[in-house]
Amino acid sequence: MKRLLNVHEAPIIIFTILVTLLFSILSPDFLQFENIRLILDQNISMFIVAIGMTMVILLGGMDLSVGSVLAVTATSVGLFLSNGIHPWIAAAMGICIGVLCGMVNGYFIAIRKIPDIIVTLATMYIFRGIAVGISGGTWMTNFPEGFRFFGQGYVLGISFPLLIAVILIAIFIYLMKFTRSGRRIYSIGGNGPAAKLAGISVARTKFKVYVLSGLLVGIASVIFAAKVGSVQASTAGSSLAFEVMAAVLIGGGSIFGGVGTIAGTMLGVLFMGIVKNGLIISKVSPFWVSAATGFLIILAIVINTLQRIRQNKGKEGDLV
Amino acid sequence: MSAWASRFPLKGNKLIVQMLLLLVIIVLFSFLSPYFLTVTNFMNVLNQMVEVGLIAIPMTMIIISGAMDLSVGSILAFSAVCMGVAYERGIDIWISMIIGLLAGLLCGAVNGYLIARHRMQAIVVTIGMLVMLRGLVYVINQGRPISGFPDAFYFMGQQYIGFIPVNAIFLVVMFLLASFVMKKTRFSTYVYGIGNNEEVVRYSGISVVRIRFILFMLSGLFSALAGIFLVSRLASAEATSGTNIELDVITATLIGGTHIFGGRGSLSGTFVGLLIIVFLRNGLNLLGVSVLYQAVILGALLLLAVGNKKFNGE
Amino acid sequence: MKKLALTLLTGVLALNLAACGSTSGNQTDNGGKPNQGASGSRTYFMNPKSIGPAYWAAAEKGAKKAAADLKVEVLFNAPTEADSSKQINMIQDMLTRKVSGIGVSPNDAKAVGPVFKKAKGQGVNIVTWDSDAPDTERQYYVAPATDQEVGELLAKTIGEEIGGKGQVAFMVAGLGSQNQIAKSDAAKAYFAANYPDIEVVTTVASDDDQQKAYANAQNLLQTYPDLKGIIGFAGGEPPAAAEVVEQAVKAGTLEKNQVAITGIAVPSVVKNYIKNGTIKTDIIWDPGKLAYVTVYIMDQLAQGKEIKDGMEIPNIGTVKVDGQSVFIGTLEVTNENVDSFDF
Repeated sequence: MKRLLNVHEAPIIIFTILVTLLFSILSPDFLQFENIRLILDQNISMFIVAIGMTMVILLGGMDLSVGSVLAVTATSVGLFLSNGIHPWIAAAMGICIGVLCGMVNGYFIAIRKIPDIIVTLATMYIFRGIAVGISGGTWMTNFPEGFRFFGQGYVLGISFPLLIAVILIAIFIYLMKFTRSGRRIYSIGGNGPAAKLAGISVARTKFKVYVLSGLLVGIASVIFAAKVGSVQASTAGSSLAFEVMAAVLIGGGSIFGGVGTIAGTMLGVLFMGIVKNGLIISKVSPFWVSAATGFLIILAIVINTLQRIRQNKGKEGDLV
Repeated sequence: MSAWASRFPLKGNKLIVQMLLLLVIIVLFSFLSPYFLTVTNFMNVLNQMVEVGLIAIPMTMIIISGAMDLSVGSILAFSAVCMGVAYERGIDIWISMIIGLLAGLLCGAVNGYLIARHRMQAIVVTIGMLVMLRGLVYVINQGRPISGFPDAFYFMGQQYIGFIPVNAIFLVVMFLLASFVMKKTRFSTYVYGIGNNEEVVRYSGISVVRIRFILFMLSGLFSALAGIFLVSRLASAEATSGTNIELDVITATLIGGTHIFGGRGSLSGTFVGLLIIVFLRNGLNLLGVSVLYQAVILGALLLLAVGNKKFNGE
Repeated sequence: MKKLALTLLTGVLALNLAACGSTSGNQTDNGGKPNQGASGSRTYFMNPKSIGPAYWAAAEKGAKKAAADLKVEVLFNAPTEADSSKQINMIQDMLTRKVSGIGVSPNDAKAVGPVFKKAKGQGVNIVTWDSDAPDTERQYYVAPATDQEVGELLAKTIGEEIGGKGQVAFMVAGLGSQNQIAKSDAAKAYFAANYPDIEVVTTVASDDDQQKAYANAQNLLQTYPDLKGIIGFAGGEPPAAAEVVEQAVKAGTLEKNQVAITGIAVPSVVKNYIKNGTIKTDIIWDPGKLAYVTVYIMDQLAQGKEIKDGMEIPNIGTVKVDGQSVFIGTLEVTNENVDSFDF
């Protein structure tokens, strides 16, 4: 039992279970297979974007531009489609644009050595402007049937986007846990100067992480567009960055880098999804929905912090 | 204190670069638009920058101390609506104002308690507060804007003394006061110290918890002040006010040369940074440039101004 | 640092002085403006709630067309988010530019009061469009119909479609948005008076976020299995609801035609849903026409001409004028006529 409690993700697991119980008491519809599938389905793009954000935060950075990258990519995919480009090619080109955005971020952060927040704050403005600019202010909508497969299709009875998300999560958990490049990210976030002395190229790793983050946002935005069925460039993903960051930190990550896991982050995303869905399912007054969401986020953080303090009683000074 | 002194010339250089940038922007727009270089327009701009400016004061201090407060916009709306609701219930406007300020202070205290006392990560706590307070605003007044305040109250946001808006004078006074605090008092040494090396400050026997707590309280108080000035200027307290204001505030602070990882920065820099973004936005508005390009230009400026300075080697 | 702050202040003051000095120069410049105005270079500022939604993009086309037809200059700009204080800052900036008239779709009807007063003091005509700001110094309000009429029309449409009884849910973009509150209140009142068996179960808000609207609609279907109808009170809501219903029908969790949808949406966005029969009737007006009429009214005011009921507007037709309100009328989009709209 004690060992179980010492698992890094223990508090968030327990808290998620508690919240789930609460909602199932409030509404019989909550803990149904259909609804669980719905929650997963609603948060697929969050899951995918959060993988990239976890790596960025592990490095001790943060990426405020994810929402704008999502808007740029989804809008350009919409443009490609309306010009009659084949759905698969359009999706691939969209993902390339995501990678390109990641490269822009990576170039300024890793090579020009400008702090992450400043670069991504700037590109957040820039990419959003570009997205609305290329959309011409109109909605991207009326996608062809073939494209919808990415958001709504089924492969062997399993939802296609869910399958993609699960595969990506598995790949990245493996990469982060068992490969040298994954461990490098942890070491740079944990102690940058030491990692440098150990011969790790900090710049190259950072660049790679931002490119991967761009790639993941690219994939997420294709799924987003195909699922929602329309893209409004000015608002698509506008609150994404904060939500995903909150999910990573709820999942046990530290904004100062070096601490956190992909599995924890996924729990964090799930937690946020459960809260958002549960509050509506249990018929809470619409005016209370966001107040309750914020309260639960803070509570999750409180619980997380308690765990960390318990684990690190001796070396408290290293925290905060 | 010696570290502080050695920082000084560098900061001076930075400030000169920023002032030059501001000057370039002003001269450029004066050529491009005949309406830009007029007293009315300048007073207009001063009147508009007050809310962002007030919040930028504690934000600069908090960033110098190595943290960040993302909940300021929601605190602004929360205090504004608290004041409005109090007034609607028949409470005297000036007492309602104090209630609004107390509401802001309370939010700041909650932030401070969680972040300073319980050592939680500032960014997540304030994201949580951002969502929660915005929600509470809707709970309090069902999303309906509150208006109909007495004329005496509008004095703060709409009147001019001579040809200078009252709220701009207030902002400048606040900046001077805060500048004084950040230069002459021990408090500032601690703030810079925490941003540079928290351990050392702690081992010197100074309560880091208390300093951080005070900083977040200040942030709550100034956000509430900004909320009250906003209501006075717009004659209406509404649920959406202050949305995304934190981005403007942080942008101004960063362009003003405050280092995002803490330890370095100055209020005079922030003030210039503030002037840069408001004049930029105003000039582009006067030229009729679409907001889309404005966003792109602002982003590029941020990269150039802040990025280059970093690149030129600190 | 105090020294620096002082330098800074002196700098600002010096600039202000410089500004003072140059105003005289500018005044002669401005003095020349009205003369030019008479020869046909009037400038108007059209200020929607925000830039980005398809609705406002369609309005921009109308405003530009009016500019070409009337040979005037029209600036069309707004903040990227529907934020009242940013909108007012922009109006103030445009007052400085001394435009001949400003057409505003206010985010907050009360907050624009002071700036409208200032505009009147400077002799600039203010016309509100799409959303009104009553009790201010605005000259005219251009709208498709009153909020009450639109709300009642929506309630009537859905009431007829679902046979007068059952559960209905409301979807709005912002819980605080005045014109959406007015419409949904009117719809509720209409149900209470005419369809006592219709129950409005809840109102969900998307904050103008397409993905959130989509998730909201999913959650509605999950929470209220007996739901009969959805009304979307803003442009983004009906398509999100229709998308979710279509997907649920395809997945077999929902019968076709089990949930009726109506609302306010631009035809081009909901075209496919109307053709598939997911949305039977959609209420809209031509936002381009709305903007066109607004520019026209401002131009008439600037030339000192009269606005009267039943007046003929070139390229548009006649409009109804009631007191200080100008109504252009609403359109019902159905399967028969959906292809005839170009916006």
